[in-house]
Amino acid sequence: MTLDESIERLERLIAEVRQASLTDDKTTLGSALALRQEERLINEGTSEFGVVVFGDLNDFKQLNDDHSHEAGDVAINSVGQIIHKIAIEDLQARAFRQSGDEFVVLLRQDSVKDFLSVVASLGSIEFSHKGQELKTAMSLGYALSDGKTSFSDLLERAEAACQNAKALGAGECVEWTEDFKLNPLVRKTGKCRKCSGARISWSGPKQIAPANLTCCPGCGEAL
Amino acid sequence: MSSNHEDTILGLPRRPRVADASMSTILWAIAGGLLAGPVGVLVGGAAGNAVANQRQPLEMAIREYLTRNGLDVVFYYPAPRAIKVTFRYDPNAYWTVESVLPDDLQLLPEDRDDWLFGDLVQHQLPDVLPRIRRAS
Repeated sequence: MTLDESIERLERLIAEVRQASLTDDKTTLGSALALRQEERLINEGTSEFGVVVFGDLNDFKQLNDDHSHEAGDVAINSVGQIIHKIAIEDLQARAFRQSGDEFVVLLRQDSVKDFLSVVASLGSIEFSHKGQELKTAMSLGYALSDGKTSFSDLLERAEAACQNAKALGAGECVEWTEDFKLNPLVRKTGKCRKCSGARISWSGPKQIAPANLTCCPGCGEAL
Repeated sequence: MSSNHEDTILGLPRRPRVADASMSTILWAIAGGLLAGPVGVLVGGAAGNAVANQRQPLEMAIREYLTRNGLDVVFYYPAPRAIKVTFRYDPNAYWTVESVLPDDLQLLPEDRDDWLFGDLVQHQLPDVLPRIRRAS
């Protein structure tokens, strides 16, 4: 093999490794590394995307615990397919799986209205695994870039908005506003001994959050 | 243990040879690094023949088998003595099958991969496929 051929082969290998590292291993979306590359562009002000959307699966841990990690992976794959369709194919957005069940979508500012009109499809995602009919859901939050806020701050805002969206219900997508700084949400979780160990959660403003969950809303049992 | 030249191991079919795979699976395996060197396989010659006569890597063999049955491999979970595969059989319908080497069965790596493949296609999948066909 000549030196030129060796270099050419090496370049091909590097291109393959690069491509693999930018693609998520559980979905057809971009990987966390690909998101970091886009983050640099946003921070430099050279990205075409001015909206950061954050979403994660509701009660994903429970799905994993109740139906196996393979079912959890299938849920992630199913969600990835929908995000690919509604964001990448239909809106020419970019979408990534950041880690675990966390997804990030980058939209152009003029696509927000269109995205909001289809985001309800993420409120109930049905799939079957090993013959069992399962369901997962997502709530999302988003933050608009003002040209002065870093990507990590935009992402933090979108995450805070996502927590508010969860309080409203599955398939909701909430825009971050300054109010969220003043009234941050907290989430409390517990398990009911009577309802077969059912998980109970409460989300709401910090000011009125109970110190502990004291009563199961399902059966009224004191925890 | 039975010779690797035989087509069965402990009554189970061994992995097919690379030459028996479809071109799309061969290309997929090369891109994924499961098969080394595209030139030998695709063009032929002594090196190509050597690769073509090898048994398919386990992941490639399973993917090829499922693809031929119209199933799409979504996740592949390898372990030292087991293999788990999640495949899609309808747009929103998935199944996970698993093959586990019994604790008392000690095999060389090549034979182990053959056994896991054979168990998957001869025992695990035939249990599942009729249920899938009924459901879809």
